[in-house]
Amino acid sequence: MKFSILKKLEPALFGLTALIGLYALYVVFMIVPNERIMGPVQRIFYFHVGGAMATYVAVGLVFVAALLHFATRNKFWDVLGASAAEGALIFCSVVMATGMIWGHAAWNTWFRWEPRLVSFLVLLLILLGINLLRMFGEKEKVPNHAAAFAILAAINVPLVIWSIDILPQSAQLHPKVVQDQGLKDPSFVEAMLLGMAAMILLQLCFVWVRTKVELVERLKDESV
Amino acid sequence: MLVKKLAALLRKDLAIEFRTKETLSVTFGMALLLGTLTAIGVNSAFVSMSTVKTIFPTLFILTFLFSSTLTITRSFEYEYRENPLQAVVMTGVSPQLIYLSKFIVNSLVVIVGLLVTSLTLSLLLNVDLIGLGLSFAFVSILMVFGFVGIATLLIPITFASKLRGVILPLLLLPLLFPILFAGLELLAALFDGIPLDVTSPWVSLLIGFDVLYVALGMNLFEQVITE
Repeated sequence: MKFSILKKLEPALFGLTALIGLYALYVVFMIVPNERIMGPVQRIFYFHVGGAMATYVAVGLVFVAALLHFATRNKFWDVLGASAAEGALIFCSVVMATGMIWGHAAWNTWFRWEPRLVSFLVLLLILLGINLLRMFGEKEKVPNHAAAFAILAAINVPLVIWSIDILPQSAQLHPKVVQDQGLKDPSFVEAMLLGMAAMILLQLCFVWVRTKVELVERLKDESV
Repeated sequence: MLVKKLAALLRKDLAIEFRTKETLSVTFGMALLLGTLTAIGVNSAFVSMSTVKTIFPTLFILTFLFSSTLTITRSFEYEYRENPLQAVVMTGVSPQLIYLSKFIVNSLVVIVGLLVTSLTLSLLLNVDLIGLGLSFAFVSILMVFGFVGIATLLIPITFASKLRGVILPLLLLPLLFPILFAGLELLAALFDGIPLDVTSPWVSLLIGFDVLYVALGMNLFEQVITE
C-alpha cells in the first residue's frame, strides 16, 4: 500500500503541532488570567481536557484499525492499531496524572470514588490489557486477537462513559465546566480549544512516528 | 438444521465435561474454598450483622468473580491440548454455533459455582438469601451471562499468550466493569429491602451488556480461533 499522501502531509502535521503546541503554552501560561477560586492550579485543566480528547481519538483509531484489519488483512492496520493503543495508554495516564494533581489541590485528596474518575481508571486498565496482550501474545495470532479485543474495548468505552449518567447527580463530583458554562473569561475557552487541538495533534504525531518505527522493525524482522 | 447442529455441539461439550469433570469439580472446589476463606475473614474482623449485610453483595461478587475467573479457563483446556476446534470448523460447523455451545456449557458450570458461592457465604455468614428469592437469582444469572459471554471469547486468546491464565483477569475484569457495577447496585438495593424493579436503568444496562457481549462474542469468535 502506498502512503505517499501521508508522507507529504508529515512535515505539515509536525509543523502544525509545534506551532499550535507553542501557542497553546503561551496562551495558557501568559494570557489566561488566574481562576478566581483555584488560582494557577486550574491551568492544568487545559491539558487534562486535551489529554482526554486525545485518548478518545486514539481509541477511535484503535477501533477503526481493528475493523480495517479484519476487512483487508493488511499489516499496516495492525501496526496502526498497536501504535494507537500505546498512544491511548500514554495519554490516558496523562489524564489520570493531571486529574490527580488537580484533585489534590481541589479536594485535598489524590483520588475520590467519583464515577467519572473510576470510569477513566477502568479505561486505563482496558488500554493496559490491549498493550499487555500485544506484548505477550503469540506473534502469528496477535493481530487477530488484539483486533478482536480492541473492538470489544472500544465499544465498551462510550458505554462506560455514558453509563455514569445513570447515577444520581449527588454521587458526581467531577466538574462539568463546559456544560455548566463555567468558562467565564473568553480566553478560558480559547485556551481550552487550543489545549485540545495541541494534545490531539501531539497524539497523531506520536501514533504516526510509532507506526513508522514499528513498520521498519517488522521489515527488519522479516528480512532476517 | 442449526438447532440440530447446536444440539450436537452441546452434547459434545457436555460429554467432554462429564467425562473429564475437570471444570465442574475445580469450580465447585474453588467456590467452596474462596467462600469459606471470605467468611473466615469477615468473622475474624468481628463486624456487626448489619455491616455484613451491607458488604455482602461486594463479598459475593468478588468471591464469585475470583473463583469463576480462575476456573473458567479449564473449559478450553481439552481443546487446547487436543486441538479439536480446528477439526470441528473444518467439518463446516459455523464458529458462531461453537461459541454458542461453549457459552451455554460455561454458563451452566459458572451457575454451579455461583450456587456454591452463595450457599457457602449465606450459611457461614448467616445471611438469609431465601428471602430475596427470585430477584437475587435473576440479577446473579444476568451477571453470569455477561461474564461468560465475554470470557468464552477471551479464553482462546489467553491460550495463545505467554502469560496464559494470568492474562485472563487483566483482559476480562476491566471489560466487566459495567456489568459488575449494575449488578452491585441492584444487589445492594435488594439487601436494603428495596424490591427489584425490572424497569430500572441498571437492569436495562445489565441486559444490554449481556446481549452486546454475546453478540460480539458470536461474531468475533471465528477471528479468534483462526489465524
